[in-house]
Amino acid sequence: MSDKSTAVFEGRGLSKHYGPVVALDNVDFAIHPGEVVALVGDNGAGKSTLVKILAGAVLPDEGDIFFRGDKVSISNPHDARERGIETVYQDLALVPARDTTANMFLGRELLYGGVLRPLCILKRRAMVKFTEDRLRELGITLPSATGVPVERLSGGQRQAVAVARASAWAKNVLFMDEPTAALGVQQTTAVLELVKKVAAQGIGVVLITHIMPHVMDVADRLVVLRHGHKVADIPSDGVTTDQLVRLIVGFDPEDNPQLAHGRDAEPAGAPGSEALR
Amino acid sequence: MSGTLEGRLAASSVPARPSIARRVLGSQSSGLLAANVALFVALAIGAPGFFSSANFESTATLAAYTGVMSAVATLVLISGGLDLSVGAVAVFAGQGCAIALENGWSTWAAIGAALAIGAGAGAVNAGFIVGLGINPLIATIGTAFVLRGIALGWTDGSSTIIEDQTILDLGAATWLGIPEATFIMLCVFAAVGFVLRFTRLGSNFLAAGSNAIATRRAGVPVWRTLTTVYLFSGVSAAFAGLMLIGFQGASIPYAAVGIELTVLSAVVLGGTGLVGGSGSVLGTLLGVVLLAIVASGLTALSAPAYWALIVTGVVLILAMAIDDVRHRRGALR
Repeated sequence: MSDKSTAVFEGRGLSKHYGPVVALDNVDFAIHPGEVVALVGDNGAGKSTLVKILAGAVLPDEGDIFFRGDKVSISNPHDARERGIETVYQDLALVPARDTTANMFLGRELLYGGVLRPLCILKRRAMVKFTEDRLRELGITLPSATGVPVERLSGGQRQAVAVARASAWAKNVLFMDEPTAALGVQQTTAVLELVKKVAAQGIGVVLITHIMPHVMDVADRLVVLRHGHKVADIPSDGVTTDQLVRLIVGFDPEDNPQLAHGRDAEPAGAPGSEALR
Repeated sequence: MSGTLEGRLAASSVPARPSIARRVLGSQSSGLLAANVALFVALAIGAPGFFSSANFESTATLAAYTGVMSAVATLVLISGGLDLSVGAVAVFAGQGCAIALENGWSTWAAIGAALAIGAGAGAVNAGFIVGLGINPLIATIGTAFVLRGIALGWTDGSSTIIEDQTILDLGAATWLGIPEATFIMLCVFAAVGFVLRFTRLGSNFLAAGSNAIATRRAGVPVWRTLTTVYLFSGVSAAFAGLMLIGFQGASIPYAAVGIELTVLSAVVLGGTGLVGGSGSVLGTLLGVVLLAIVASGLTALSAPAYWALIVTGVVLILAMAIDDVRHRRGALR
């Protein structure tokens, strides 16, 4: 456990089963203000389940969630959003037929006040300006923030829209599920720059990713999941890509003799968080 | 090709933002407008009696009755839904009003009763579709059958004469030579267009129709949005029912059979897709007008009534085909 400061958001003893399948088993996970945590693991390791629990999309079977040290109930995405916790899902959760501005403000539209308030009339111009400013801040270039449905944008542009939206509203924690998987080199760099900017504002950023070089570039801390268990929770300083890969795949001679045979030349590399500390 | 026409139309109406103009006057709308004008001119020249105030009044009044339902049906389709019970709701609500009047209710109480019937029908549809997750096609066909049955049973299939002047005016009065019903329809279209374009509710209709799951995840209570749209649909159908009994001078339980398909045709002709997420209120208005001109023109040409059905069907399929070709070209680009 890291103890450099109080965690802004923390899950303790989180478990989730889908029938006989153990998606997550007794996992502790803490996020501190301003840090970038890389949550890594192979397919099915439990990353998505963990993030969905913390974002309120899935209820855990066991375990507690703490916000600024207080035990809280995160039973739906609204509970998380209310606490400034936002998520960029891998499917982006954009509304394809709507433009960037409408997506940016989906569920949190700016409305005229006073006598017009009951009519819920949109402050369209203000929303467009906010969106354009936000996109410019992040160095994201789109044909237009208004009038162009996001379904007509490229995959990378759509990803950028989703990232821009979530980062605009995240006050405390930003979860990003494979944020750079669909991006070109330039946009990847931009998003990673954005991650650093967001963290510099005191927001804890959690990157769920399997793209190793990015992890190393940006993350302060690495959390590795394997088969629903947390197998490492370590500072990223000095960890090599090779070591990380071994943590992820689980170098275990008895489970996987073929893999073990291939690695015989390097027996000192036995995995586990202890070895890497 | 269509782009230049569209661009020109856009530039003349809303110069600052071509994107909005595109939504308001989409490519299909401009084509529809041209078709409307061409048909109107051709019939005015070639069909005796088409270009007369009497024909205009009756055509416009009938169009208003389908128009009120079509305007709101645009919202239903945009939200990713479907309401095929509007004809049955219109007849049932009209009958409720007629019977209330017959029993000595005041005009406004009877109108209120009709609108309450519409809201109730909308709530039942919403309960099935939003609450129980039943497919809207099936759910609304089901309520349509039930309401038709109740309407027939209520008066044993017989009609109820309307003597109330306010109701009769809905189907007959004119202001400055234009039917009262037309003004009402235009108000409904303006209101629907306003809601869709300028309000959060309209924004939620579009979002829910395009990606309901993402919309829900963004914190929008999608069930409430969809319930609202079916309530709107029920109330607007009930109001159309009042216009219908005003026009007919009686509540006829057998009336308006198949009108929901005319409504659907007008909406689809106007460029609103069945998949939800986008659509054009102005397009629907043009679709309503086109179908009215076709029906009225064929009557003026003394074509047998069945031709109106055949021509409507052909126009609808043709419009869909043109739209499809245009979309595919767009996709290839």
